[in-house]
Amino acid sequence: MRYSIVATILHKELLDTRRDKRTLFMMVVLPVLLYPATLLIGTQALLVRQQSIESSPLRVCLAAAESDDTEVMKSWVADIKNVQVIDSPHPGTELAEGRVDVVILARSGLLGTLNAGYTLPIDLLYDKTEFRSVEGVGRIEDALAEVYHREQVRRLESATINMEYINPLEVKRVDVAPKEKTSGTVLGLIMPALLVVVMALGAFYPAVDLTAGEKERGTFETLLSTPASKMEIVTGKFLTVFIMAMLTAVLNLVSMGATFYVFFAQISSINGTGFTLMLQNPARVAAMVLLIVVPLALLLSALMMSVAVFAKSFREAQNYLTPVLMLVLFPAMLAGAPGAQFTASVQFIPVVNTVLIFKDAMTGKATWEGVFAVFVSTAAYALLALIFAARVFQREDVILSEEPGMPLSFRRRDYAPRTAPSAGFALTLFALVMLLIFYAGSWAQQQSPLWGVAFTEWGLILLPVVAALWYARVNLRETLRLRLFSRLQGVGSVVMALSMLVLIMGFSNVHDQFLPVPDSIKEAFGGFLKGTDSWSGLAAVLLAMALSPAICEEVLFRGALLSGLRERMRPLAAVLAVAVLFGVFHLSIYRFAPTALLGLAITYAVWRTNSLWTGVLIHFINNSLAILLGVGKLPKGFMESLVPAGWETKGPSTGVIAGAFVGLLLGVALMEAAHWSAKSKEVSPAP
Amino acid sequence: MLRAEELRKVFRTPRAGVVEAVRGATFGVAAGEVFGLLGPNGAGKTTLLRMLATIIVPTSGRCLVNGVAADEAPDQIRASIGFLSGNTRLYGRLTGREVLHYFGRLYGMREADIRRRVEETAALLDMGGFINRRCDTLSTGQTQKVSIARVILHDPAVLILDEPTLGLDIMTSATILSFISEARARGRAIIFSTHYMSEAEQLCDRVGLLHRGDLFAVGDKASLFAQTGASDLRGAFLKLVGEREPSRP
Repeated sequence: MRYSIVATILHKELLDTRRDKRTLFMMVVLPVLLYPATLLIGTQALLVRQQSIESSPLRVCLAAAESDDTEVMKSWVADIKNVQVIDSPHPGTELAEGRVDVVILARSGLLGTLNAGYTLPIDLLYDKTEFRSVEGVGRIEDALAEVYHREQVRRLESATINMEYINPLEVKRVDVAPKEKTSGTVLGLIMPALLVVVMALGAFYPAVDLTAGEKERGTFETLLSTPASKMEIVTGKFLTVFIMAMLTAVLNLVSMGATFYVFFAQISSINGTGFTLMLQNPARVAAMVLLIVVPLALLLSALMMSVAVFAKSFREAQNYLTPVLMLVLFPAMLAGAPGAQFTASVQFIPVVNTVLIFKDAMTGKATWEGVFAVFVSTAAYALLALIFAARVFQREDVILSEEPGMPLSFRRRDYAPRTAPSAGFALTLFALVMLLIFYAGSWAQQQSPLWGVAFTEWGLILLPVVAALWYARVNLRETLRLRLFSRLQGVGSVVMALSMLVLIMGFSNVHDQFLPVPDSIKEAFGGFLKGTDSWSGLAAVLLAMALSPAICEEVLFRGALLSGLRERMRPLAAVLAVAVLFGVFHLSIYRFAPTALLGLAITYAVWRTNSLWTGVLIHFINNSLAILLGVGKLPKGFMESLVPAGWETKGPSTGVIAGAFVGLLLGVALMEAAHWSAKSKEVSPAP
Repeated sequence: MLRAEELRKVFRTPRAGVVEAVRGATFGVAAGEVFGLLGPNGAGKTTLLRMLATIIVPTSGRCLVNGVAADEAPDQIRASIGFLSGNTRLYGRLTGREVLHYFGRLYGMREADIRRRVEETAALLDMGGFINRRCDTLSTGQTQKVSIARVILHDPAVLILDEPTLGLDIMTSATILSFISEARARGRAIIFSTHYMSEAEQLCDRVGLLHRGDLFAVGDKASLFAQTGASDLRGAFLKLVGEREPSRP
C-alpha cells in the first residue's frame, strides 16, 4: 500500500466533507450549539415560569359547608406567599374553566371533627395539565403539613403524650458518596449512550457520501481507473469516516461536558450545595475514555461503510443503514440504563461493553484491566469489520452495480412490475412494521394481550406488507415463494423444527448464565398463557401465538425481506441478515440471540426449499411446542423423551442436545438432498 | 499499442446467477488509430471497456499495452490509460483545479508537473474562466472540458472512452469529437464506444461490432461495407446485428 495515495484520498475526502454544509452543520455546528442552547432555553423557561408564578397570585377556592369552617381554612392558607382566596358557589366549575388554581374541599363539621379528635378528610382539587395548578397544590400541601403538625402536637399535649413516644425511630439518609462521584454517576447515565448515538450519526453521513454518494455521482468508476488500488481507496475513505466519527464524538463530549460544568456551577451557586463538576481524576478518565472510544469509532466506521457501499444512491444507503443504526443504538440504550453494570460476561459484547466501562470510568470504578479488555475486543471486532469492508470493496458487482432501484413514489403507475422488491424497499417495509408495532402494537397488547398479539400479527405485519408489495407491483407468488414443498422437504422441516426447539432450549440455558432474563419478563410471558387450562383457551393461545406468527412473520421475513435482500446479497449474507433482523424484531436483548438462531434455521430452510410453507411449518411447530411445554400440555411420554425432568433449571441433557444436533444435520441433509435431486431433474435431457 | 486477447467476463449476480457478458474478444488498436466499439444496449460494450481500463478483472484472457500485460503491471498500465465515461460527473464541492490536482496525485505525478500540466490543459481547452470555480456551478460543456482535462492530464498513450457524448448537446459533443481527432493526430491509441453511427463513421478508422458478448466483426469501414453491401455504417450495423437477432413473428 502506498501511503502517499492513501493520504491524497484522505485529504480530498476531508476537503470535500468540510465543504458539505449539511454534514458540517450536523456534526460540528449542531453539537457545539445544541447543548448550551438547550441549557440556556431550559433555564430561561424555568425562570419565566418562576416569574409568572411570582408575579400573579395563587388562586384558591375554599369549599366548606359552614362559614366558620371557611374562616378556619382561610387561616391555614394565610401564610402562603402571594395567595388569593376566591369565593364561589361553584368551585368545580371555576377550576375547570381556569379561574381558580386549587380548590380545598373539606367535609362539613370541620371544627367539630378536629376538636373531637377524629380524622378530617380533605380533598385538594387541581388540574394536572396546568402548571400553575400543579405548582399551587404543592404549596398548599406544604401549608397543610404545617397545620397537620400543629394539630398533632396539640392532641398529644392534651393527652399528655410525649411527641417522641409516637416516633420510635428517626430514620435519616446520609449520602457518603463524594460529590465527584455523584457528578460522575449523573454524567455516566447520560454521556456514554449519547456518545454511541452521536458517533454512529457522525460516521453515518460520511460513510454514505463516500460510498453510495460517489457511486451516484459516477465518479467511483473514474477513481478505479487510476493507479490507486482498491485497498488504498478503501483505506483513504475509511480514515475519513473514522476521523469524522471521532471528531463528532470529541466535539459532543467536550460541548456536553462544558455545558454540564456550567449547569452544575449554576445549581451550586443557587442552592449552595457545592455540587460542582469535578471528576475524581480527569486525566485518568480522559485516557480511559480515549482508549475505549477509538476502537468503537473504528468499528462503527468500518461497519457503516461496508453496508453503505452496497447501495447505489444516497437514499438507498440511508435505508440500508437504518437497521444497522438500530442494531447499534438499541444495546447502547440498554447498557446506558441505570443499574446495568460492567461484568466479565459483557466485556466482549461490542457497544454494550464500551457504554458500561465508560459509565464506570466516570465514577472512578473502572479498572485498567477492564478498559484493556474492552479495547482489545472492540479493536478485534473493528478489524473484522474492516476486513469485511475491504472485501466488499473488492467485489466488482457491488462497486459497479447499475441495476435500477425502486422509485420513491406514492403513485402505483410509477412502479414497474418486478419479481422481488429491492433490498431498500424491503428494509423500509421492515422499519415501517417495527414502527407500527412499537406504537400501535404495544397499545393493542396493553388492551388485551392475546387479541393484541393477533391484531399485531395480522393487522400490523401481514396486511401492510402484502398491501405494500401489491401496490409496488411486486410479484407476490415469487417474492413470498408460495410453492408447496416436497415430501422430503416436509420431513426435513419437521426434523429441523424439533431439533431447533431442543437446541434453543439448551442455548437459552447457557445464555441465561450471561444474561439472565428478569423475572418481570418471565411473568409477562406467563400472563399470555393464562386461560390455557380449558381447551378453548389453549386453542386461542395457539392461534394467536403459534399460527399467526408462523404465517404473518414468515411473509415479512422469509418472504419480503429474504427476496429483497437476495437482490443485493449472496445467499449466505442474505440468510444471515434476515436472521439478525428477526432477532432485532423481537425487541428484547434477552430474546435476540435465541430468536436470531431460530431465524437462521428457518431462513435457511425457506431459501433451500424455495417454499415459504417450510418456514411456516417450522415456525408453527416451534412456537406451539414451546407453548405446550410451557403449560405442561404435552403428552407425558413425549415430553420426557424430548426433555428430561428438571429441564427448566438444568436445560436438556447433553445426550438430548447431541441428538438434537444430529437431528438438525439430518434436517439440513434432507433439504440439501431434495434440492440437488430437483436440480438434477431440471438439467437432465428430456427422454 | 493496445491489444485484447480472448477477453472474457463472467458475472455472478445474486439474482440472475451466472451471466457471460463478454465472450472472448480479441482485437488491437494501433497508435494514432481510433477504434469504434458498436453494439446494441446490453451487448457488453461497457464491460469490455472496463476490462481494458483495468476497472474490472477479466475472467480469462488478457489485455496488453505496449506488450505489457495488465495483470502483471496494473499500475504501469493504468498510468498509460485515460478513461472517460459519458455518465461520469465531477466532485461538485471541489473546483476544477482541485479535481485535476487530485487525479494528478493519484497518477503519481510530481507537484511541479501537475501544476505545469494543469496550466497547459487549461490553455488547450480554454478553461481559464472557470477552472477555479466549484464543479457544481459549471455548465455541462464546462464539466466535460474538466473531464477531458482530467483524462489527458497524465498524458496517457491510450484513451478509453465509454459513450463520451451520451446525452450531450451538439456544441459539447463537438468539443469531445474534436478532442478525439486531436488526440489521434498526436499519436494516441483511442478506443471508444458510441450509439451514434454518424460519430463512428466520422471518426473511426476501424470498428468492432459486439452482440450479446460476442465481438463478431472487426474491420475497417470499407471491408464492412463490402461484406454487407451497405453504403454507410448504419446500414452495415443494422444488417450484421439483424442477422444475429432471433427472428420475430
